[in-house]
Amino acid sequence: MKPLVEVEQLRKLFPVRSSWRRRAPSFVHAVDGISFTIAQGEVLGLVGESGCGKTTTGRLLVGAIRPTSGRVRVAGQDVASLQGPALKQFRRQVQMIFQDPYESLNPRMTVWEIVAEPLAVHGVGSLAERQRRVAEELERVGLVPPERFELRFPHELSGGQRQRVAIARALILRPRLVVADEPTSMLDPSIRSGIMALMRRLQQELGISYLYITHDLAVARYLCDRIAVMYAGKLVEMGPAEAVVRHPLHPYTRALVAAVPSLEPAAARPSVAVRGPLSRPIDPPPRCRFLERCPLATHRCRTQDHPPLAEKSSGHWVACYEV
Amino acid sequence: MLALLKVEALTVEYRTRGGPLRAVAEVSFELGRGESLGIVGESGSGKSTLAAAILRILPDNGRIVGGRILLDGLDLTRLPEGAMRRLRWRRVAMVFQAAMNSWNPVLTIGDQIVEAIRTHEPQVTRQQARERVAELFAAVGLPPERMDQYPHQFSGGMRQRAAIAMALAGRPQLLIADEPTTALDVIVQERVWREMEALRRRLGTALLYISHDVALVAQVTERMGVMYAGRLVELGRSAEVVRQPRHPYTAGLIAALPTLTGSRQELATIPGEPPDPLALPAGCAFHPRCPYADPRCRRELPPLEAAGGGSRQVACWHPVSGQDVRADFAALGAGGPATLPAGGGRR
Repeated sequence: MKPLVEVEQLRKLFPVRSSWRRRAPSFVHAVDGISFTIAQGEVLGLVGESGCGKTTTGRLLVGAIRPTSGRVRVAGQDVASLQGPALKQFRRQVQMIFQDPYESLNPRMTVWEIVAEPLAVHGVGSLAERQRRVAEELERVGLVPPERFELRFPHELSGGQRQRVAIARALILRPRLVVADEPTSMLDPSIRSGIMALMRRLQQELGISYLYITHDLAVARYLCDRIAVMYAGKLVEMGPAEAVVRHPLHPYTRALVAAVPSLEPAAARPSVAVRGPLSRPIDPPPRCRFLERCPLATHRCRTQDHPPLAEKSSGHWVACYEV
Repeated sequence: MLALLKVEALTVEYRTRGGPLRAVAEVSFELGRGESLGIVGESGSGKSTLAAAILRILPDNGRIVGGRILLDGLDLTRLPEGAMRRLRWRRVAMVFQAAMNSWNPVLTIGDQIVEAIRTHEPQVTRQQARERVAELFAAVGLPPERMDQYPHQFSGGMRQRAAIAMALAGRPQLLIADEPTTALDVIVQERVWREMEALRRRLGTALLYISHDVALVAQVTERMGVMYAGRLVELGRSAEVVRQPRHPYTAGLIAALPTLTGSRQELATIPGEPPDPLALPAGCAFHPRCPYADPRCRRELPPLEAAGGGSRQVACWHPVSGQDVRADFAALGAGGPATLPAGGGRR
């Protein structure tokens, strides 16, 4: 079966404001030639640190910004070329959930209005039908009884409840793809696992595909079928979630895995040999982006282009000359 | 031996429109010289208020209403502000999450630390102070030659390292760190806390480490306390607390934590939300979310007491001992509403 999402050589460059003296503008290579697919009903985790380009990738997928080059196809259609009724249809099929439920919900609208709005925008159902569907959706996300929540405003809800409202709003039109950008990272630990479980349950019940963007490998391991690791605009590793976490290949992924705090005593864990912080890829040379921090770098890495993703074992890809 | 820090029944309240809000309630613990203690809690648990109370930097509407804070036997709650000011940084220093953003942008990082040293220790020459800064820079993984650079030339992780160097430059007996690495990416976070730990141990500074991250606290500290709704509900050796939590809240938190190494089974979900601090449930504040709660829990507040052998203390009438916590929380969640009304928005 054809994948639902096909991303090909996707690039997004943002100009950097340069000084008045410099004529040629510089560019941040936020997303720099990445390719991947998401199957129907699959959850792909996009994991990376802040500034790696994962949020930009998500925004390109939903058509919020246009790529500099390359293509995103959803259900066979090129997202950048959509117009008119096709664009409206696309917006019905693709939804986004954001990190901060304090900012992503309109503070002047009630819960009922927030969740019913997509139905109104797309002219779905009569008022009575919308009322029934909103109540159903609130129940589905665990806001029960619905009538206790429908007339409240976002500021009257807790963070976890707000995120449930955002999920209900995103799912009420039964989209085929949801791009979720760090939906649990602002929540307290005791609330977080409930939202994660809810997102997984809804995905399974409704057969939706997710692009799940997170900085947290452990969260990705729990929720995702496959994990793609992003570094400075490039995909450096991609494979089945358990393989990437248990047998990371790229030196960056290995460092990431080793740095995640675990419940085991510190002494039992190896320290990380990675140098320095992630730097913003402004007009980067065509070498491996991880070169400066890499403990494995060789002459080849310093003289050749950024390594392409190569399949090392079934479905497990890595962009590194040295593994 | 006398503990370095002894907190006794500390109670802190905020004045709010809804009435007095008790953010920290009768918290007691001890911290030995050179020892590290973590305080874990979620937002609103009172952990940051506890840190601010010890340093006496509570916001204007906050007040210590009971208990004592003894530093080497000296009661900080009774100390005049002038004496407290002399003691801050010199004997008790602090690093917090936004420390990396608190540098003066028009002075070099090195000058700012030198200035702090010379203000508190006038007998130290500029050259001596610079040498001390260079030493600290090296210890936290910063190239000493960069001390003459400005804050904007440092990355976030470097500014946070420099903030740790600044905090330890006064050779304090106690370092209070409130989410010092939370704003950093995970690889940088790991290095920053390791460097902080190495330096702290060398200087013999005690550490009070405050974070929402149980796993991180378990790695960084020797002992940890868990706070819920303003109270310390569990206290013990960090490795033991995470391996065998006794309070149902601690057990739920740990079972709710996604990990890289454990089995990929369902995570526990603690039903409901933390309580509104202006309307705490009677008895144990955790009882509405607890699978083991009985009528006594709804009535009587359990004190923090020794549980079993060893140094573990738990505030619970029915401490966990080997139950399947995940299944028990799931059964409780299925029985009641998935979310209870929270107090959000009242303040």
